[in-house]
Amino acid sequence: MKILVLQLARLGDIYQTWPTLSALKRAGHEVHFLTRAAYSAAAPSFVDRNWSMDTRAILSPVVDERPDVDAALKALSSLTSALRAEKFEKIVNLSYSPFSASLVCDLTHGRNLGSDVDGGVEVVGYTRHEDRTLSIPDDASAYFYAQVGVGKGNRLHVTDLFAHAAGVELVEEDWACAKEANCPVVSEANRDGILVHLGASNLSKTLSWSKWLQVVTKLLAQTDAPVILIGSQAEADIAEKVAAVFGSRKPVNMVGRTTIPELFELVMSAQLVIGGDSAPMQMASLTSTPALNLSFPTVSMWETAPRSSGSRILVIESEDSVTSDEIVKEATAVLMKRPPHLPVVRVVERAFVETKPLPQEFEWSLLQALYMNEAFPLEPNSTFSIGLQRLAEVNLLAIEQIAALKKDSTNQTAGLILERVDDVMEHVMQLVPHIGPIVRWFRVERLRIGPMAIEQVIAMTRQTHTRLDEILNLYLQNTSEGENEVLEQK
Amino acid sequence: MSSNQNDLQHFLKLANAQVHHRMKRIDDATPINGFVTKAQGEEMRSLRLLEDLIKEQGQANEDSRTSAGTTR
Repeated sequence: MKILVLQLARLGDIYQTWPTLSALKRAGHEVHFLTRAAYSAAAPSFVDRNWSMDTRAILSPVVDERPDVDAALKALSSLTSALRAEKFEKIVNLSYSPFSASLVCDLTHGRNLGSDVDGGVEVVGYTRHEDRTLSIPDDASAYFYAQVGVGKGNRLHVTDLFAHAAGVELVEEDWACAKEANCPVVSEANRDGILVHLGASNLSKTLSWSKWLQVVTKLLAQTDAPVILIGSQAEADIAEKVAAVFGSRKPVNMVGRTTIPELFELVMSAQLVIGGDSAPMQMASLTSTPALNLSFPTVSMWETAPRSSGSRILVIESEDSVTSDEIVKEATAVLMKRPPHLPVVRVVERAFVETKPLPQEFEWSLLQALYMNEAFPLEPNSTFSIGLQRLAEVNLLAIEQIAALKKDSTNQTAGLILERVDDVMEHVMQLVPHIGPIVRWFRVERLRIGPMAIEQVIAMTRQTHTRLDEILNLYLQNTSEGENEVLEQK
Repeated sequence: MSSNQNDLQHFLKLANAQVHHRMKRIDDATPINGFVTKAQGEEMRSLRLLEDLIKEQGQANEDSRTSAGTTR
């Protein structure tokens, strides 16, 4: 099958797409890969063709006092026309962004979506209906839309979700898809180093430079390995401050001095990578380099932490919740393969193993019940039951309005009440965060009802509300049975 | 927001206005019965795609955490 995979996000997401691309190749498909030009250096060489979208070239004619829309349209359509001419049989959009949905919609325009007749194209990931509203054709992407993100309780790694959406199962070979090359930046002196990534796409995902300075000073004092600072040009100022460490041993400052492939080679040749949530962590997963990942509350370690065996993830509230001594002690424990000193999450055979339970276990169990046919977990507290009762009441109100609309589709009052139902559900979710997975599941399932005849929209909306009612009743029936038992005992 | 980012936002708004102007021109040229020529339909589709790209770029610059629209 001829497949186009889109990944229009940044470096980390591109590296997290590699195993899926490898699995698609292993299955014998012809795989084309589209990234943004700014990050195309991270695209793998093992696909059949790499494409890039040069956003800067497309938009520069319009970023002017006299915008030249024709020139921008020409640049954009030169890419879309070339992609359309390839007549892909399947498009897998793993970008999960609004623009990528529009792009896929444009690329598939006029072709029979999901059809197996000649000219049809199957789409996975976000696209758009003809009226430009968002279309999410597959369940994995619906899960992504509803449940992936910080604080939502998801524990499926983005790499696994990408593979699931693309319809492939990853094997170890797909993770180890990076091939070593002779790279001048990895001199003998830089081999087996400890890489320290000082920056991140957002400063809230990493330590301050002064804390890094302490960590680097202690690493140099307590280990024999070369300590190599890595990062982009934007982090060069911080790197200079850290590189000016006092002492006889100095770190090797490679910040802003490596291309993306060179950085990849450095990670491949290192014995340990230390850093926040960032691209070098995703590189480490592909090169089987152990990593010590400092995971801050602005990211979800379950979704993006490194997967190389022997890695450890230190989940911290802020940089003040861990000392530089503790970080260095844990780093040396990773190097020496000694047991953890801190309550880290360990990576064993690509899976995360907690040394102490992390928050949101209930939400994760609820997600598994909603999406993976697992048993529904026991209610965590009475507030949860109250939240469910309020949801059930408002859901019943919605079902009544749908019945009114079925009789008269022009009934404006019913339409207005239905709109308010969403607001009430949002408020209940804010008050009772434990019910978040259910509300998010419901909202996305309803969003997936595409444009169609009003009778069909009404029928499908009712069906979705009925499914919500069934889920809520699983708990509420138990509650009322329990209440009855209490009453009978009285 | 830095002055560079302010400039970029200003230009993106200008670009968006131009794109909308072009869309309106096609809409105005569309007869009451709603039929458009194939060329008009394709131009409208391209304009909408460009509009979405401009919008995403604007959001990416307002919020550096929105990764998908970044060009660096």
